[in-house]
Amino acid sequence: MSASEFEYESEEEYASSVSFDELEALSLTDSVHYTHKNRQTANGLSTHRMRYKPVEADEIEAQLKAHIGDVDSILQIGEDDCAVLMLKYEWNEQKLLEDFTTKEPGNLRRECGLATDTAVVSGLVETAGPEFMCAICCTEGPIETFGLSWCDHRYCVDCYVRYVRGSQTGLVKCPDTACHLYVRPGELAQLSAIDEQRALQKEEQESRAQRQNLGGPLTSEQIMAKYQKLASESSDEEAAESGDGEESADDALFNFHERHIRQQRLEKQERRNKVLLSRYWYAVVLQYTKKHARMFRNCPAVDCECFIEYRGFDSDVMSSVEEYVAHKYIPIVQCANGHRFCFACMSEDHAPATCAVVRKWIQTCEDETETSHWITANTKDCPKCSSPIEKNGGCNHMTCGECHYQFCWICLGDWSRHKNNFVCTSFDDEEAKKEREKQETSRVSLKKYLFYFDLFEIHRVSLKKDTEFLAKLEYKVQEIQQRAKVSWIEAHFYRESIDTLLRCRITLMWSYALMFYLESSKEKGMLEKTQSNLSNHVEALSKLFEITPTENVMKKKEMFLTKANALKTSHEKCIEIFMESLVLNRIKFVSDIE
Amino acid sequence: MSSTEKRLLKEYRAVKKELTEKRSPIHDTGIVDLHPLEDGLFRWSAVIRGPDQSPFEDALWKLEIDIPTNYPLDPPKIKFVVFGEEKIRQLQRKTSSGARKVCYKMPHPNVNFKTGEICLDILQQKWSPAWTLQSALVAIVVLLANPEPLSPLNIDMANLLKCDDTTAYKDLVHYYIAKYSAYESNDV
Repeated sequence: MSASEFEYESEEEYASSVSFDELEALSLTDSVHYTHKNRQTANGLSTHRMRYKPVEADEIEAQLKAHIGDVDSILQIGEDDCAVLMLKYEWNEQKLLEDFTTKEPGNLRRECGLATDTAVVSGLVETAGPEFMCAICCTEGPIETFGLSWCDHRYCVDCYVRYVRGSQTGLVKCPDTACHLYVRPGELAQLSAIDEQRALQKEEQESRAQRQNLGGPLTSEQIMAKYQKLASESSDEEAAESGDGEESADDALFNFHERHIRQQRLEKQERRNKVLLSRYWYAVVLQYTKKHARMFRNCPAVDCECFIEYRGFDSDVMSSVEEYVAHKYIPIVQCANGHRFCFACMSEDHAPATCAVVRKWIQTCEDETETSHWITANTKDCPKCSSPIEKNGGCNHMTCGECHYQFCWICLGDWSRHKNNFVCTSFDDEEAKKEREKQETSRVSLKKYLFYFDLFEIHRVSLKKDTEFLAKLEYKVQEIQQRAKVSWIEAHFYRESIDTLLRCRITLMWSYALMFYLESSKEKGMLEKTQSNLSNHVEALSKLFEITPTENVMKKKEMFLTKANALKTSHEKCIEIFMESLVLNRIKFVSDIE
Repeated sequence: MSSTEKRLLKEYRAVKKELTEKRSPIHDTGIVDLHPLEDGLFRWSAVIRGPDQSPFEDALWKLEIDIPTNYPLDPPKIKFVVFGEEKIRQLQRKTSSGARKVCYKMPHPNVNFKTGEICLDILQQKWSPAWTLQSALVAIVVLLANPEPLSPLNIDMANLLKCDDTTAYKDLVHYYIAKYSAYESNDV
């Protein structure tokens, strides 16, 4: 079959499986992602996928600017004024339009910190004469000053820049206490431009000074300065290296990848902080996403600056994330940097356990309810004063250490009834029966908890160990790749295998937590089989990493790929099967989870 | 000299000049004294008079001002100088002629009774670098006459105002002024 034929066929398949609406949606919204791979599971359960889009701050910024442009096309007051109004109304367009039409325009503008005139005057940066003194730093003129278009409060450029940098929001007021005007983006752009220009000049001056220094012999002071600079740099590097060493023990997850992301983030941050205007817009974006937390979620991974934009569902049945979660679906999303998390509860990828299970599980592990379980399982309460007593040997004639009540350990009845008869005759006493039953359930529950907690812990520890181990290996592979001069794409399978392995471990881990809350039934048995199947695949791949010497990794590529693929398939199947059982309510939770 | 120091020096000169002039408007604002302490420009001491037509009328209070290093971008930390009963009694035993008598307790809804800390928006998020120490003190004097019982640091005083019991409020303030005034001491 030729390539073109293949494409054609898949195209046709594609068209038949996707509805027209969806096609349209796909063409309108670029790179929309789904929480589930398929619309339906293999057994025909609709997954009602949640649509989302991983976005970054600059994309949201562009969106906001476009939004401001749209509003301005109605209001016709200039985008700068519009930006301030939208910020003031916290992006509530309807309220703004309503107030704009009903309120007296002068009043509205005054309330929102706008001058009566809409224009942004150009040339706001002026050089003031010697009679000028900046009221903030008390520097006297001649000096370059900045002030807003429609007020006379001028301050020196340095102070203004520092003042704007210090503010955390998009609404920056004129520093003057009596002035109500806000700094508009157009005005800020002028300030930002001069700030950048100055920074450039400074850099040039420095480099020129350096060049001059290089020309002639260095003075002793210059040598000293240079030495100190070098010394501090090298100590910085050392510090950074030792920091990395610690890190590899703890959060070396996706080592190279993470480092790359961090590098990029730092660069981006630096660029953003350098330019006043982009800093301003970033503050606006942050404010906006916080305000619209239902639509945007900030990735919870440490230092990750990505956002997830919520784009509704691909079915009409679901209308909100809350509803989706209530139906026991799990909206796992992946940010642009590859971090997976739950859109509903913002914790790490916890499929197949539902959000409620996760909450309960974490609570159970944290608090001491299980200690009390131990107490009930291994002790009996004194029938009179109810202090817990652990029997550590001896006969069944108990005397409570607290209240000195004498009772029978077997039936918990008064010992006086046993005086002449050491065989406990009140064995089928109603009270004692109840007592024993209560204890029995407690004991079973404790056993069950410990069993699943152990499994959960084992996988958590393995996950951590694997992460450390594989991060080290990855380093070596990187070396080999460089030495063998193969392109990164050749060695990419290794990274992918690691990712798959770690992901599956997380899934396994949470599946054990889920199991703790499920009532035993046939269905549970089936789930357990699926689980053990996944577990086998995980171990198979994990072993491959262990036994393959680093030098042979490239040669064993095929093995890795096969095992990783098998694991992937098994993982997908496992998630689907769990989802079916949960969503179709085929499996019952123990009573206290809902 | 840093721009912070430059600015503080400028403020100091302006205030000193105004305070020495008999007919300067500063005397109507309630600011009696404002000067940096001996150890540099970053710690100041101030004395204010309670505003007319308020329970605080005519009494004096001492304030302590800490200036952050990036003043005026960050607001100064201003609080009332308050002492415990023991310390005030000690001060009351000393008599020195000519010294001012100041009150070392501040019963006000927006002032922490134990620490003297002030809850005022312009000293926090509403601060602007165009404010000066002088204008901040004026704002504090105005706060004395216009308490804000809805965001209280001293709940008891705030409750009196919330119940509209102005007589009790006034009398309580007078009681504290009478009981806890002493000649000004130099220790902060």
